[in-house]
Amino acid sequence: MRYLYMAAAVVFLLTILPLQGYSQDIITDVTYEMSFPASNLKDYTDNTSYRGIGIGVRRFVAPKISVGGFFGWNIFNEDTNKLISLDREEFSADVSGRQFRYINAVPIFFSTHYYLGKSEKVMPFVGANVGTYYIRQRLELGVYSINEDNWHFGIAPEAGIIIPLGYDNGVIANFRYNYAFESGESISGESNSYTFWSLNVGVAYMH
Amino acid sequence: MIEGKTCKKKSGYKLIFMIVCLTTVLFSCYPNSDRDAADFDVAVTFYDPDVNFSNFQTYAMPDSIVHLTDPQQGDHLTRQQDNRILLTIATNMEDLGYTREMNPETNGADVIILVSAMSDENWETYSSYAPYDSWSWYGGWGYWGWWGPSYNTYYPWGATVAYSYTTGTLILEMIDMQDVNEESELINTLWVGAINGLLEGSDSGLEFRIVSNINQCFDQSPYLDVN
Repeated sequence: MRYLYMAAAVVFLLTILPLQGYSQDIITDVTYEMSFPASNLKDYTDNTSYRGIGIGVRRFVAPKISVGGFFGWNIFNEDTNKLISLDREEFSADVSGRQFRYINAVPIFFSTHYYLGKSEKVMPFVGANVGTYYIRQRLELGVYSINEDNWHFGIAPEAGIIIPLGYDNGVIANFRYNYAFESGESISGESNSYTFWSLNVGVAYMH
Repeated sequence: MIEGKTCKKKSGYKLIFMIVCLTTVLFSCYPNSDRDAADFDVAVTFYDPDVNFSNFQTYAMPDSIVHLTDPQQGDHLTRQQDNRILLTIATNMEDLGYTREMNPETNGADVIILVSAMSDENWETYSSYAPYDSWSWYGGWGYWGWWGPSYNTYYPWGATVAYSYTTGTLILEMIDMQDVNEESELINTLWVGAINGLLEGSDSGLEFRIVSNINQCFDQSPYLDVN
């Protein structure tokens, strides 16, 4: 995890410091993220995630365009007795018992946003995020646990709004589609491309 | 100007405070619920996907369970559940359409079910730092202590706690008596069912868990059905 934090810091520094901002406007936002699994992720953990956080920094390089970075952390988990079939290189087996299944997804993105308006009341935007997901898949079964850690290339288009409340702060809400491409091996041996939707609400600080 | 700088500084502190608050929401990367001994039971089955089990009709099974013991750890297993285990396996095999051959030496059998068991004692340790008093200084030790009863002992160097738990494993192996390599002395194994869990609880509770998990091994192996 230490290297993960270092990577996140490097992303922000490389994104923010060297940029020549058009108007020196910077938006820093922190959001609470609620995520909904889909596809392979839903097959593994079929529960909505209420444990998520996102931190983004954007710098305007044109009147309606900003670039920046994003760092997030979403936790999916499920307590289940469902039979799980493992089809790994070393063996194939059917396993039953009470299982605690976890997915920790850490997106680290370069981001760009286009603002559809910039009134004093609301700032709708659309954005594109490109970068990487660090994903730890964990299975606890009996007295054993299995982990698979992989870095995935990923994309995350989003749309949302910023509602200024004061001179330099406001509320931000957005909806993001997250897609992590397949990488490495999953616990079950099946495809580990992951998809989830996230609904995010938080505060934005403009400076 | 000074007021403006103060306003921006307060907003920055608000943002940091929000980050801290939101981070605490995550609290645990691996949330889970309390578990009892039965929640640690695992039933695993392996099989050869190229085998057509409908080719087999008869089976034989020894009337005893082999205990695989480590001389250093000893045998933590009893034989109180042996008869029930063998009966449960026989019942499941009958339900799947197999006929038990009671005289395999003379009449032979298509497959043999071998049952073995083992136990494993596991040790775990963790260290804790206890800057507070773990034991109170007994005021009656006044003779030894010119310090009064308001003093307390503590462990600034931390304390290490060790705990152990014992797990048991029951292994069911279905071997193919029609596929024996006498040169390499290898017998093909068609199917394995393994049950693992904590050796804790009452004898009746343990028996119930063992029987349930044996049934689960057969339930999750529908390919064994030859009816």
